[in-house]
Amino acid sequence: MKTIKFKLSWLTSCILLLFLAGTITSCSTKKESEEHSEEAGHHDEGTEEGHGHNGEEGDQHEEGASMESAGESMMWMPGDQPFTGMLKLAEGDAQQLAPSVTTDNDGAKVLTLTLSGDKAILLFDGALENLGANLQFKTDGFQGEVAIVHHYTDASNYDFVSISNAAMELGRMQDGKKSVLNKEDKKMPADWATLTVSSAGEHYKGLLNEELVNHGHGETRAAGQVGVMLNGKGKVMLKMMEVMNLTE
Amino acid sequence: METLLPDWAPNVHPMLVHFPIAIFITAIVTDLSHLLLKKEWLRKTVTALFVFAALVALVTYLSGKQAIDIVSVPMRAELTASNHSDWGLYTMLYFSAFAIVRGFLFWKEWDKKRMVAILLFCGGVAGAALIGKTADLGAKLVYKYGVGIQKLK
Repeated sequence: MKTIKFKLSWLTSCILLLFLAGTITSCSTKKESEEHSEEAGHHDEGTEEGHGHNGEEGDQHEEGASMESAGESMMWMPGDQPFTGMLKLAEGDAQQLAPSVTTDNDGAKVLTLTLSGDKAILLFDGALENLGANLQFKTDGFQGEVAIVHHYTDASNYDFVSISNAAMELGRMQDGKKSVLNKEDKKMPADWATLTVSSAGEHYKGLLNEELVNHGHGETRAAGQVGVMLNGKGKVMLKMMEVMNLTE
Repeated sequence: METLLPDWAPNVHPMLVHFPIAIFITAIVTDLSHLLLKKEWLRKTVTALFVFAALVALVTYLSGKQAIDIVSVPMRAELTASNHSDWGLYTMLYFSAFAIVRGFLFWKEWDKKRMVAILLFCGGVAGAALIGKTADLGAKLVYKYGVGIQKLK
């Protein structure tokens, strides 16, 4: 009887200890998440400030390109002159692309590029590991593919989400060798569309107009640049590109 | 399956997620009782609970894999969703392996040895840490980023 009583009191003590340990762990997790929330709050404020200074920053740059940078996200919109903003031409001949900046019906500036079967790559500065990106684009008699490239280290090593007249795919170029992470049938949209990619850990997603089209998996790779890749023949119009650094 | 869901539920995953947590914690507490009281019925119950927890973890993981492609995940929540998915996989694999090991030791009656029983209890606590991490990330998706909830109109 005495032994059972002793065992029961020991059991009670152990359960109480477990509860105590659980409570401490839970509290520390909560505190950590509150700190993160505060950081997120500051980030949001920072983003708002970024918006607030948008016009001023545009004036500061001769190219007049609209830029927003709040540390965690960057946004590009065409300026008065092509290739002078934060999205720089990394591959392709600027003159052959016959770039022109026009104003759309909604008042937004549009960068039009004319491709003649070659490749053009425009990149943001800076390297990101986990990221999300949106590209607002439209094509006109274009035969080829429009892509968002990320983890770009050189012309032979990068990841991408691309759309052509046949399919939308998530892929990877490693030492010049292409591998497809996911591929789905899809046609190039006729009107303005938003191509989105997210690369979080080993998970890659491709969306078109906020609709999930691709979900693939691949090994994580070193941080790299983010940008646009155009490959084909015809006209492509770019209105906006936004890149976000993803954190927990 | 979807027709059985209530209107407000985005998918079956939120209905299932609490089961592996509750069953696994119950199994650990029962295991601790078995460690102290050394009752045969507790030994059988513990093994059954861990096997059941593994099966429920598998179903919950599969429901999560389905859910991640049908719910709208805000861009800034993608990394949390990715980590939740990865930790869910590790938890499911650990639970499955742990249930197999426990089942084997139960069958051979090696779990009656004191040292083996203590090691198994520690293995259970390690599993609780895994499910805790997965649950924390899942909770963050819902309560911080609002994934899978419907806003009032």
